[in-house]
Amino acid sequence: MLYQFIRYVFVFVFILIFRVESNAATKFGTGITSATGGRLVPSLNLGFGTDSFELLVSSSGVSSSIYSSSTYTLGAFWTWNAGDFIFGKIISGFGLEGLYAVHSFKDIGSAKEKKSEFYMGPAFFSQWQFLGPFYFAVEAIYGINLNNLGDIIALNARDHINLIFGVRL
Amino acid sequence: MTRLIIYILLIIVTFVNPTKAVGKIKTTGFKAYAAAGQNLIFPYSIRLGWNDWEVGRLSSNFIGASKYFPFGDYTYSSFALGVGYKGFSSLGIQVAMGFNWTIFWDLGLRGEIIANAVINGEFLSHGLLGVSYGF
Repeated sequence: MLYQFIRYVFVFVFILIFRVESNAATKFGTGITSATGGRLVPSLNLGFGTDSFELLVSSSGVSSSIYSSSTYTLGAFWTWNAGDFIFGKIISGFGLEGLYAVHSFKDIGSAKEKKSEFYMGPAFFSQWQFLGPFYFAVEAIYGINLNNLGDIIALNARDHINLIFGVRL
Repeated sequence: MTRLIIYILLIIVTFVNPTKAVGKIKTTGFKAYAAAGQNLIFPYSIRLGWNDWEVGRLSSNFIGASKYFPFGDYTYSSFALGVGYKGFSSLGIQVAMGFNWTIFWDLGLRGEIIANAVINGEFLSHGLLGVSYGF
């Protein structure tokens, strides 16, 4: 399933890249994510793209002698310059993003248990470039579980949020 | 009260026709918004606004000021600075994307997906669905 997702994302990316005529851009940032909510664990965030399209990846995780957790995201976004906001400008993006996470736990006297999860869904971000290339951004994935219509009706989703401080090169 | 709001929303959703929506998103004048959120709890968000800014309870754990940016006739994104007050109060950012269909008398059906992140490590995201005025 992960392989299929990656294949679809790459096809999506190439289709968009071939129809875009714009300047390339690279983003590099760090921040905190809801995957380790409650603990200020730094995440790594990278972005590649143009003025109208971006591919974003992120990674975050923790590890100790009894447990570990790693979370990776990959998403493709249409982006646009939304407008001005306090000394800077807002760039917004909307697209599709997937999340893959691996969690392991070792109880006393037991072997390590490992589980993984994967979900994908619509995603968006808004990025405030407050000082030249420097920005704050919040990015969110709404993982949709089509097997549970009740969650959708109740406005719930399997969400993941990144708060990012970065620089756009 | 919650049931009443849900019934009103269901009636609006049943009869609303976006192709006949009479108003596009406006960035001038007074506006107000009250919305239900996660598990259709009401009110999850209550806001008052002027031009393209809104202030108030932007979601269940976040108070702040938000500026919205239309990117279509009926869709917009927004960016807000404020304070998250779940647990320890702390500065944070809330972003959103949404739609608004003005139906009659400047009243409209407005929905958002929001995500907020607070510096102390609290995060929240969910959908909002409510009634707007002057939007």
